Amino acid sequence: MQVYRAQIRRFFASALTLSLISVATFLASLGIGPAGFSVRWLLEVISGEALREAQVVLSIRLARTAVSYLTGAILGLSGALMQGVTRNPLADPFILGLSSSALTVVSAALVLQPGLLATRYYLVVLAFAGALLGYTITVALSRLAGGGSVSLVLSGIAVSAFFSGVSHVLLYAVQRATGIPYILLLAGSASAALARDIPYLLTSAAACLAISLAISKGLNAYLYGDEYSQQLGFNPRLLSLAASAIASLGTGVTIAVTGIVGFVGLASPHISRFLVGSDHRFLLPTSFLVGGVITLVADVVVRLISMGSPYGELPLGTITSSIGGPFIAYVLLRWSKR
Amino acid sequence: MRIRVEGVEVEYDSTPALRGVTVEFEAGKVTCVVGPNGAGKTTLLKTLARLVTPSRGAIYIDGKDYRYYKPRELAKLVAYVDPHISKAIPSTVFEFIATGRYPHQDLLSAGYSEEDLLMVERVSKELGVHHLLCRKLDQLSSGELQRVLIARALVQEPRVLLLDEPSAHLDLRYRLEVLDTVRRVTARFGKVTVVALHDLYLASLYSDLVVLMEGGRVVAVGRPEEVLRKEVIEHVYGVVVEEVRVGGRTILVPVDLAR
Repeated sequence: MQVYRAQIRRFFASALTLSLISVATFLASLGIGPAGFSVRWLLEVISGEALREAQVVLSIRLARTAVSYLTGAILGLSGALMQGVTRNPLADPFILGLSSSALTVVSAALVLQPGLLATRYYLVVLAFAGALLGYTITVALSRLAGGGSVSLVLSGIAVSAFFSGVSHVLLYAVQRATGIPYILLLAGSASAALARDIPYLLTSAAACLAISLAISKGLNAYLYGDEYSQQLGFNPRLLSLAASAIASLGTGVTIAVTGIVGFVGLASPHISRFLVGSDHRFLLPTSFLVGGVITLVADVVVRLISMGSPYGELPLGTITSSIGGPFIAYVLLRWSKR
Repeated sequence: MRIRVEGVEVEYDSTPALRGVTVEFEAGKVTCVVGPNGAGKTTLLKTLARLVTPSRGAIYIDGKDYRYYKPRELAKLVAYVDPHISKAIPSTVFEFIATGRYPHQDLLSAGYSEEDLLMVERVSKELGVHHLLCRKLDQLSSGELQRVLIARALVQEPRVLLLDEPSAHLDLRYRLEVLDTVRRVTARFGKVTVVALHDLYLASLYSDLVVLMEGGRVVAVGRPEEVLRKEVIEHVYGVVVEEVRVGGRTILVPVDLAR
């Protein structure tokens, strides 16, 4: 069957290309620092010729690079899951209010207990609960409003507006207590990433990817309707619950470690669908890779722009938003044509 | 294979949709369910597919209460074709049709087997949708979509095929062609086929058995010429009907509203 074989070929070609781009961006990201980009420096450090200080610098950069990449990858995966489970091409953790509600819960906890910032574990759990809360409110609100795809997006906007307002206030208080510029928490930044953040992201990325791949057939059937998936022997409620929980977990972890990085979750699934089609078995891993590449590139851009600036770094979310905004416009136009 | 529906009652938010429906469906025969809007045709089909749970009564597949089948077991036996599927997330005709193979695969298997792909290929050629496999679902005409929907159900290789308005949106030729295919498949593979239809003429052409429903009840069951009679149709639909003889067939033509 040619159609299917072509799809498989496209998937492997895309996965291979994206992996190569990932490796290249990864290396580039390791070579970039406040002093500019240097391949020679990188080679010297890796071969062990450089000073010990350089090794330390490299390990900091490695942490930052891995955190950026994994954050984006998890968001790409979460976005693909959310679009499938809401059957809405405009769904994404940011638009549906998960990111803001997770951040609100995290910042509320930090106001009460500033010391929590040092213990990622609790922050991750809190952010997960916050993301679930935001998602539940959005979905409940849209059901009350009639349950169409427009009402879902509007409910998401309402929920995320409310929570982002609240989180601004709370983060302002956190800033006074801890001295961390709150813009970095609000708009996401990998600059404060530490090597000990990586295991959280890595394990949740692996878990989210594994579980979502295990339910990918159900998600494929779910795309065409609740009853459609039910008559193929799947349980639509369980599917939607599982996918929403994974997306919330993923979003929560990235909020706890990096902060809000908008639009990666929206753009990655669309780019991936263009590359490999809508079959979740291909779409989910591709969206994972695409999200990682987009975010790492954005982080490299952040560092290039902020190079030598006395005012500190630009937040990561600013770059992804300025790419993501026009992208939403593009999706809207394509969508409304139907 | 034989399906027995016994005293089934269904309620939607305490509004009765099926009342004491008792009827039997046999393998190798096409049964058409006809009746006015709101008669319970779709509800009967959805109940047979276990998408709707009866509040009273039972349904037996070969004597076994169908509540005792696991969801995936039932999915291997029964396919229900809903004319309305969500097309919000764009996907291709192939991606859609191939989902019909899921009940036959291991839950965690990675891809489609040779056998799965052959089935998709054969069925899509038979229903004339093979050239559409790469298209997006939302780029199809309603006639093409209708055939794609039926192709998906046949790919599922069910023993029981439930079709809700398969001839809607089809032009003259495809109406006959689709129903002809349905009848051929039913006879050849001994499927139990139940079709909800509005068009009484098509029902008279293609059904072995007609079930006439009104207000959630079964009003008449029998061969087309027994059920689709002038006085019955006039009574149930509230119209004045004239009988016309065309090529040895009696056709009922509605000419006026009943006063």
